[in-house]
Amino acid sequence: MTEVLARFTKCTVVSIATIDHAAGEAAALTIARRFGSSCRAILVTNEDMVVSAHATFGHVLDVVTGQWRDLRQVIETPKRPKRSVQRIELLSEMARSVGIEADISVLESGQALADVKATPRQDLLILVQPTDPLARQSHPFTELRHAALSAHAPILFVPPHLPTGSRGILVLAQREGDPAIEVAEQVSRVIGEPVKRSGASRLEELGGIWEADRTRLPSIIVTARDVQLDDPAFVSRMTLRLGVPILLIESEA
Amino acid sequence: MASSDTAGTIDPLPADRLRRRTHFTKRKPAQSSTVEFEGLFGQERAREAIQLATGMSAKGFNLFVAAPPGADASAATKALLEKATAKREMPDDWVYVFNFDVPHKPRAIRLPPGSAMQFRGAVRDLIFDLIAAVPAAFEKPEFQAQREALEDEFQNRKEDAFEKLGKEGRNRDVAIIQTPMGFSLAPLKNGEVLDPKSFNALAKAEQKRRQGQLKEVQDLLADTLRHLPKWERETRKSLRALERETAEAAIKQSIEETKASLRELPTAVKHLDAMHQDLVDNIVLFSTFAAQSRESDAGPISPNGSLGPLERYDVNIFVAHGEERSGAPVVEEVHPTLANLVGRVEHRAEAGVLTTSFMLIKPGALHMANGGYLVIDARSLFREPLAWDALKRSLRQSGVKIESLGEVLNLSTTITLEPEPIPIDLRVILVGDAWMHHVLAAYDPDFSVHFKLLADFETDALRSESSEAAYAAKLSAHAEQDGLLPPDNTALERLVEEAARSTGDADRLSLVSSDIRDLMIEASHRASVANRVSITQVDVAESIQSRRRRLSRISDRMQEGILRDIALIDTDGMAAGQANCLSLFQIGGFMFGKPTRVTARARPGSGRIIDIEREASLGGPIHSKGVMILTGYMAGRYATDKAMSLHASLVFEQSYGGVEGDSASLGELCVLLSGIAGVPLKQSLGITGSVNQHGEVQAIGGVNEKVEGFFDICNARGLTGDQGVIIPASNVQHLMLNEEVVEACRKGRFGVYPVRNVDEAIALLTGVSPNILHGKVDAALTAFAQVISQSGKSDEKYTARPVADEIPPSEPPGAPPENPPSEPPRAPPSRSSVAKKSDD
Repeated sequence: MTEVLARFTKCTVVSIATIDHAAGEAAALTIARRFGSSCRAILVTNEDMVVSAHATFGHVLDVVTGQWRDLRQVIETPKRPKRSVQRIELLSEMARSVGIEADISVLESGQALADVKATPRQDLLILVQPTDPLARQSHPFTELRHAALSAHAPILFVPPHLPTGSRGILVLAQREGDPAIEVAEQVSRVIGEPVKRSGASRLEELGGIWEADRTRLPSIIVTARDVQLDDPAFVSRMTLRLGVPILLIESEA
Repeated sequence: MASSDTAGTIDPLPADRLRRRTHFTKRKPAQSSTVEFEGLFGQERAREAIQLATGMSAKGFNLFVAAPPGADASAATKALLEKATAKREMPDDWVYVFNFDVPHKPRAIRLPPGSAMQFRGAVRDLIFDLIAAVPAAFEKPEFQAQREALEDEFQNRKEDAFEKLGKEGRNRDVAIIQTPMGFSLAPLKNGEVLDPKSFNALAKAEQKRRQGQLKEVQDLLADTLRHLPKWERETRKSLRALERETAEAAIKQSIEETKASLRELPTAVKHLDAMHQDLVDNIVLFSTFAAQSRESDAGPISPNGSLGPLERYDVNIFVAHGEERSGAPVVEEVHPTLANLVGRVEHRAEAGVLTTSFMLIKPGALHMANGGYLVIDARSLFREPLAWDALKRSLRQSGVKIESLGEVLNLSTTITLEPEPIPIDLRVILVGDAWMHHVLAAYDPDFSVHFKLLADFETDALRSESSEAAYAAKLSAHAEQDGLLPPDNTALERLVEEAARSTGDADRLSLVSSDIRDLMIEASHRASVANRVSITQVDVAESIQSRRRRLSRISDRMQEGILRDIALIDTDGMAAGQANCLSLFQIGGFMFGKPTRVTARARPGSGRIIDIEREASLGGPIHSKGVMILTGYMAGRYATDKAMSLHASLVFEQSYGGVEGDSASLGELCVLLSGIAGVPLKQSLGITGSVNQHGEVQAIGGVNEKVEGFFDICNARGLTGDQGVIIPASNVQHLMLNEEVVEACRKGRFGVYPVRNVDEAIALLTGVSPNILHGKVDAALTAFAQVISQSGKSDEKYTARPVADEIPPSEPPGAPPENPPSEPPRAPPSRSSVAKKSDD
């Protein structure tokens, strides 16, 4: 599987520009630096969707007050371009502090989805998970996750906070020769942590075990994508629930 | 009426009558080492009152000790109280603790004596134990797992709800759109958001249907969000319950063990029960404490003695009675401010803000003396604002409420602590002057309610062999206490004699010991300088002389004025209508005597004797009374069968200040008779004494200073052997003349003549029989009557023009006024003139 890792020539960090995900983005950049690859960061906006929502629905739910307000305020706010610039500056600063160079761009959701889908097999897609469960049920994240899962590139679901210390790489394999095992061993050589083989093969089997003893949580979980794709939202949820990055690879490397 | 037959028989007093000696050489005085020093020597009346105060428990029987300054009443009273209370039961301890129900009202807990330290020790041990045990309990994997399970449950509930919402949206072809300001909704087509153009292209019915779907999802979203706070509350509640269970498990055993160790202190156990509940409710304080300890890298107790966030569980030892003493406390408050009496709540500065806590409640003297005795200097008490009121309030309520000056005056509006008042049962002893007692009793109705007992200290005691010995023992004890050289017997003799001299009575000893004590201190210094191992009479005598020299500047100036003939005083020869009366001056506590020439002029008139001092408003009422008595004497002696046809005037020559007292009345009478009869008086004799209407001579004050004052003048001019002083016979018992006078008298160079009536004085002054003088006076008065009768003129004929306004109010000695007065105006006597000079 050296070939697999050799293809991780670039890490593409994808995050939603609409709201701040500073912690998750910092975690994503940190893990990209650990893989030693060049980095591209995409901040996804959805202004076209907001325009559609304004035209067809016209309201926005203020989650702080629980009140519905006129969406026109969002459309007409003069700060939107400025906000994008600020997000780029913040992410650049974050990359510098983490110690990695990142090519950062802000893309409208349509373009971003296209780029994600076209991510080459040798690259790594790193998807920053919104902590708000409603955000994870919202556009553009749902579309973004869907696009990532339809790409050939491996996808790393990143929680806001990475586990500390050397906890090992846990591989969930359905069978001997599962490509997840090979990838885990390659990752192990790169980041210097041992591989552990789980008795479970599916993510949902891990929850109960680790809830009883979180000290056993690994640094990264590696598993085949087709095994877990029954419910893509579940992978996001488990990433956050366990607080462990989950690397999904294609079954056929 | 005194008899004239005694004329010429008065001899001067023998030297041994002029000073009563003390002799310890043959009878050793009691030493402090062999006789228990009693601070209340000679104070039987006061002792009885103090013993009554210590023996009674009834409310209001507090004690006022009335004693002159220097009587050492505070120390003596305190010594007696401590002796009386040493065997009494020790009062309870008091601590303040946090009030878990009303935090700004700290609770006071009464504990058996000596238990406060035990209580605090047990509580602190408990806290230190919990500081380790509580975080450990919350760090256990079991607790963490349970807590995370609860949090996950909430998170899952939320996730499930939003996932369901997302599905419901997708089922209705509705997308939830995230915007920078919240969430909105948009219609979907084939999984993609419909743009406005496509939406508008839809048929109206379809648009309406889609709008309905958007509305349905909007309602679902609102409904989902409505549930979130409730779930959150439920989770928090569950978490709190979990924390309480964990806390309860962590602290229960420690608390129970502490309660068991304090089972003999029910009030302490009750507090621990309240503390137990609060610990469970506020267990988070231990994690706050741990965090702060990590930051400061300090031990459990901060440099300011506080337990930081856990301070609420600490114990403030307010009043504790340890092993260092037994019995009831005797506390003397030397600075009785309001705060020092009732206690105070202190503050500490933290990050620029003043904060306080129940640990900063400090006791006052009333708390410290609770169950015992509190001695307060009344002079100090009344100088402190609101202190007297606070003391009365505390006695009235039998409890002490801690209030600051600002609170009492309503100057402070900030929130502060209101410590629970502590009940008090104590006896207050106020030490002040007798006049303070009289004023308080007259003008403060509360005073007699709260201070029913009076210990009225004597200023002197009867002088006897035993009292001299006791006094000497007291002086020896003082010398030991003050670290002085020990006084030998000769020194003690002189000191005891000086104690008698200071009373103005040879038969009494002064109990105002501060002057004698100071004298002994000075004598000790002189003995040290002279390399002596003990104080001798030489040291005492030198100290007395030195003290007199230091204080006698004005006296010396007056004497100088006489010796330079500026103030006219003759000490030899004879003159009619003129005598040396003796005045007493007191300046800054120093008394001295000085002769003053008194003269009389007489002429026919209507029977009036003019007191020029009174007419010039320089005479006090008692002096005026003395002169009026002369009128009574004259009328009774010479005018029982005829009208008094006399107009006479009496004056203190070269006296420019006020005159008070009647001790010159004997001299004035002699001068008056001499003036009328034209019989001269010996100027070599000074005279002092009061006289009544029958001519009997009465005792006066300051006899020693007066005799010595005249002696000093005579001695300076040279003693002739004819000089001396006439004094009332009743004053002989008061004589404690200085050694110089006594020695001169022993050698016959000076004499002190005691007289019982005016005739004896006349005989001494004139050298002729009083009957001769009386005959001449009678003849002169008869002649005056004839003059009046023949002229038929009224008394006004002889009245001179009043010139009193020209007299300067006060001139220095020896500086006569430019316009000497003749006869003063008939102004009413003034009682307001300041009596700088006393002939009393």
